[in-house]
Amino acid sequence: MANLNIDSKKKRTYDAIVIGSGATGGWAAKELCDNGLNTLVLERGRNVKHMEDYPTASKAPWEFEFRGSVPLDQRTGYGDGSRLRMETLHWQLKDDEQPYIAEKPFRWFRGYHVGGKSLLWARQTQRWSDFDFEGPARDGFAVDWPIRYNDIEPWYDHVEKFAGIAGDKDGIPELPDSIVQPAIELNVVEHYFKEKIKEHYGDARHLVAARCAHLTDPQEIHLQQGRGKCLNQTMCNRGCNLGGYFSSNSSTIPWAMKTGNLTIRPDSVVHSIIYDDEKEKVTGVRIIDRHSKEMMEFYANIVFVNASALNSNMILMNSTSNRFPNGLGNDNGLLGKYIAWHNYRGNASASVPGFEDKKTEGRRPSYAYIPRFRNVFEQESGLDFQRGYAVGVSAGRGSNTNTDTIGDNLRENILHPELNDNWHIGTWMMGETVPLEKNHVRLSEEKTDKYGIPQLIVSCEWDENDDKMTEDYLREMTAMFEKAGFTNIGVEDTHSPPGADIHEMGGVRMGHDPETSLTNKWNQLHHAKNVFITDGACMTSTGSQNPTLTFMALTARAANYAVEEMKKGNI
Amino acid sequence: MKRREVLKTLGLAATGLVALPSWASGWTARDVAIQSSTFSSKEQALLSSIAETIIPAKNNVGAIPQEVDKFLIRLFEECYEKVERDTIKSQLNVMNDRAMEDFSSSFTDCTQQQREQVFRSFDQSEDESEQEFFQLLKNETIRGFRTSKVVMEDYHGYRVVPGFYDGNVDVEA
Repeated sequence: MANLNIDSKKKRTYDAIVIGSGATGGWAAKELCDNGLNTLVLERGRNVKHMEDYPTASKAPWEFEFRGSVPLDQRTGYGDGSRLRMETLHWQLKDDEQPYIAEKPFRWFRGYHVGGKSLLWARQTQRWSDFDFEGPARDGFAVDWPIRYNDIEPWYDHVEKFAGIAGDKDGIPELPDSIVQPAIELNVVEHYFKEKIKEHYGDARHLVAARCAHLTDPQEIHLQQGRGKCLNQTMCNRGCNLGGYFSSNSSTIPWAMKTGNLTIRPDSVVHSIIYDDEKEKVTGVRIIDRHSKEMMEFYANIVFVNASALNSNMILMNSTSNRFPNGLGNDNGLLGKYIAWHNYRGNASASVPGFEDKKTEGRRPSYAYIPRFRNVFEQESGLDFQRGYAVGVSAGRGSNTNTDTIGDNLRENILHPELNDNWHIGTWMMGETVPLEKNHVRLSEEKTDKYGIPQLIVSCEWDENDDKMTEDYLREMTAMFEKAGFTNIGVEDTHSPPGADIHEMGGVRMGHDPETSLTNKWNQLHHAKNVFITDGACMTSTGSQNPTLTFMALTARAANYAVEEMKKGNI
Repeated sequence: MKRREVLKTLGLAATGLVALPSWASGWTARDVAIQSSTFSSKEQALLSSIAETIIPAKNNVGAIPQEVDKFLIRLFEECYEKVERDTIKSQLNVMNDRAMEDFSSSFTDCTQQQREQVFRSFDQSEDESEQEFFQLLKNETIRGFRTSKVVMEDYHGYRVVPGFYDGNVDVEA
């Protein structure tokens, strides 16, 4: 019997365990497996195999019996179900899978399946610069980042080469160049807007083709992954059979699998991380099998926590021991605090006079981008808010159909839509938020989910700085549109709740000092050195860039460090 | 059997040479009524007739050749709540009664012009539920037609896999 137990335990022992299979979990798995570590990836949701499990990929609208509407009998368990679409129903999370308590309005988007949100993301990949990393120290909020651009630059390179990034070399200090393939091109009106911005703002503001994780010129490394060129289907969020954009499923996971070192265990809801009070270290991970509801333990020398920002917080908070009664690594009581996100409240739109003789053809999976221009080089004396915002930009010329009538005229109108008289331009703000202690998550002491895990309470709200920044965006966007000669300008503060940006971050922030941060410059928990937190939870501040690229670079960096430390016998 | 039933519904003799409406000429017994539907064959025929009224066919392009009627019947059956479905059914009857009143003929048997007139009366009605019925049927018919293969590919240039984006195309004069 004793031998059986030892055998069983041996079978459940790996060199490393990665919690989560999204963008960062996939990267942790790839790096660890490439370095020869026998790695177990635990994913709480179902398995999703590249291509095989994209039921709606490349389907034309008419191939959906209800043209995208979801039959009533398939809507049960998804709230009121009115927003569901057949194209993406396979990614939806049922309400009872992980109920949470939003103490203040908050939307928590989750991707609980193999691949996580790497199958759902907007694929935008702008690098951070030192103007972002130096933000907290310069402006006196949160704590100083323990790293600078120099530390992460080689890892941006590393991730970008493998993932494949489309973009230009723009040479802008606040938006360092990526390793790029040809950009997804700007259209004629976006080019015009770019020129107008240059004319009026010189080098103070730029409009560029956004960098995004699409293959426009696949290299050998991408062909080895079995991926091909993006063919502009723009059905990315269904899963892409071509592997035209980067996801864990198309890229890092199959790559790690090929090494022979990877085991993926889907349907494994992590309950907690096991801290052995005698050995004074983390020895593994406790899961609940989603189907059998059986609790099981898996063991490893290294644990990577990549469960997505808030869920990683949750796991650490639920990982209690004699040594860590308040959650793993949480000696200072800051775990779950300083949650921040991105401010996507502002929208603006306008009509574009001229260009009546121009239109677009085909489709495009990306947009134009204006990097942050407020408070970049210093806190500007005239501004009543800290930090700043980037702007997403997209212009197009739509068509219209007069549907006032019925009969023969209606048919002809539908068959022959008319190009709109004008091009239209729309922009959206992507603002940095300043992490505040009061914005936090914690575990409920009363309510648990169906696995017996305490529910998460989310307590996050907008701050005056966010309101002022939104107002500035609306004002500045109006000014930029006016300078470009655009008309019918409309701006709006949507007051969308925190979390609607899907960029929630923090709670396990990096820092120099164990008194004021949870993880060090290598993403190790200060007080449990064989545990690495490298998803959004580790972020000390948020920047204004879409964050996934930075998470992935941090992950690759930390994973390679973990391997070195293990070889040295330090962990 | 189905054909016979529909013909009866249409008020046409089941035997002998009758002039079927053009949209019925392509029918076969197999694809007439959808059997599993809670919509009776009469109600299905009325829905088909409305779809045809909203977007009549020309050169085999219209609501019926693009099977928008089948889309509507299935959509209302599977994606609409029972209460909405019941409203649709009762409005269908109201509409048929109005056709009988105005033209002494069932809705399906009316000419396109007569059917347009009857259907438009719902839009112009002071009864909000009649207006809603008009808008609902019109919107869903347009949706079904506009997302059909022929319309998207042959008329709107849609390609599942475009393979390109060109942001600077000259508009043909």
